[in-house]
Amino acid sequence: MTEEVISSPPVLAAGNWVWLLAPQRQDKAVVIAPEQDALAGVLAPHFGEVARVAPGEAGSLANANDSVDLVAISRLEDCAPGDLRWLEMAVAEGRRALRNGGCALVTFVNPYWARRYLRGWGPDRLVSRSRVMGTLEGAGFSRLASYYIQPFPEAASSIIPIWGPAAVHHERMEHMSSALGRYRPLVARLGGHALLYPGCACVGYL
Amino acid sequence: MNQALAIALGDALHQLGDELPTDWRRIVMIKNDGPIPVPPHPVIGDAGRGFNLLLLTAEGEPAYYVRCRDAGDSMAAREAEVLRLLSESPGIRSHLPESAGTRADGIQVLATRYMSGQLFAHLLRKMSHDEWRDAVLDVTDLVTEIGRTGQAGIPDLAGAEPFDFWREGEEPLALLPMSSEQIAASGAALRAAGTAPRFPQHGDLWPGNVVRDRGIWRFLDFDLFGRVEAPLFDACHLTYTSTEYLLSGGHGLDTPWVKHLEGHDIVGRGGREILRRNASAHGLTADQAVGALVYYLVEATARLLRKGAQSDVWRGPLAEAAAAADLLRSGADPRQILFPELRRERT
Repeated sequence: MTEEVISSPPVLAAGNWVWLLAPQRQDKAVVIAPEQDALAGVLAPHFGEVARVAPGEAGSLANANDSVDLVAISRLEDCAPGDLRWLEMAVAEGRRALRNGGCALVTFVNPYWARRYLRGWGPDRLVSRSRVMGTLEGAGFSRLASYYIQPFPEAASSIIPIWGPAAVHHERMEHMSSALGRYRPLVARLGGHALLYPGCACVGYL
Repeated sequence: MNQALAIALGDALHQLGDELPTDWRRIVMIKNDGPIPVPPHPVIGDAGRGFNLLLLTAEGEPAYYVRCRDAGDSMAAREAEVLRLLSESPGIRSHLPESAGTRADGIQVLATRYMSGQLFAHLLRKMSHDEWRDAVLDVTDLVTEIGRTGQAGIPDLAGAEPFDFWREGEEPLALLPMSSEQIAASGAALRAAGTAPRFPQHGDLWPGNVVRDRGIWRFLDFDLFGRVEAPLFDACHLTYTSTEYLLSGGHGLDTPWVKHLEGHDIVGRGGREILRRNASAHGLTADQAVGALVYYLVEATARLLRKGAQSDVWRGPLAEAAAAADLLRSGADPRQILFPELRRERT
């Protein structure tokens, strides 16, 4: 495991994911992430042991058979850009490493975020939420959940269940007064919530 | 949800006659700005901010707002206790949030039943100037009543030592980037105010913390309640911030609020009336009321500077403190301009 660079409280707050997730035990977590990712470091206070594994080494997770409580894949598109086979392999390996009552977390860029289109960066190399959910389900995760994350990838100030009313009330509560921000509650009400948030996360429980 | 959080939250919701939601879709994490637990090593910024949860009903309507903080956070624990003690008074209970505070391994929560109704901040967009003045008078009367209840019923708010405007205002005044002449004029007003009886303030009484629910004014956010004991602080803060919402929807004022107070327009007259009535309720002289206004402007700006807020946040309050200092330096008598009805000498 490499030493993580940790900065401000909002970055550290990404470790609060653990309060939303529900691994039955918090002995060991494994984070598959690129080197610059802070998730392993911010999860450290919540687990007896946290290891960061480089994306290229995800195939060796099975060595930890049935001993891990949380497997996280952070910034999927940086781990293996556009490579769905890598995701299937990493999720399957993570599934084998998890003990009963454990869970898997996958965070990734939301391909439908409107600002990405405005910047001319289309979703061609990104993975959709349904694809990630399907991969988790296919690996044997029986209970699934999915969230939007804002901002992304660092300092996730809001973690919003992907459910229309959750986005609508999030926008009412966290109203942005900027020129475009004023339209966010309306966009959410009209069902366009996928356009509003830069990141997604899918969670699978055993 | 993590087991410790589920225990704490389940207990709080049980106290409020409800049950923990089991559907993950009903739990929204917002303002996730600080880690729980708070790290043992120093970090840059406020590490104690924790996160909040918005709980929805099965139908997708807001049901509870939950503040989650480190179990060792004494301010969060104090807010729960303050609300519990204040709620024992039947006269003000209907104006308070319905809350329950609990803790479990490493985390504490304060769950507040979601208030229906409309934020004062939203109502102000459609109010006439007369309606605004009457609403602020109503609200400040109620907050004074809550302060009296707090003073009588909360042990650590019964301090007998009077509030010394200069002694309390010297440190925040030194933080303000104003000219030496403006600092000197503000300091002179604080010294002239002398002392006044302490009175517990809400501490963050702005239109976003006031809700109109079926004809009843209700208040949010009691984490600073009683932390400020300068008389007139709440009245100044609500009058200033509500004027901003009334005139610009909360997007800043072209003309400083203090300049409005000096003038004869309806906003200035209304603002002076609100401040005068609140000053009278606390038995303040004109010198004390001017000192209380200067103290508010200085402390409200310094609070933002201490928090490391961005300049666009503190620029407005700083402009107000500077405008008040310029009025004091101008040779005009602010007592005569702002509080002509108040007596000059102390009894």
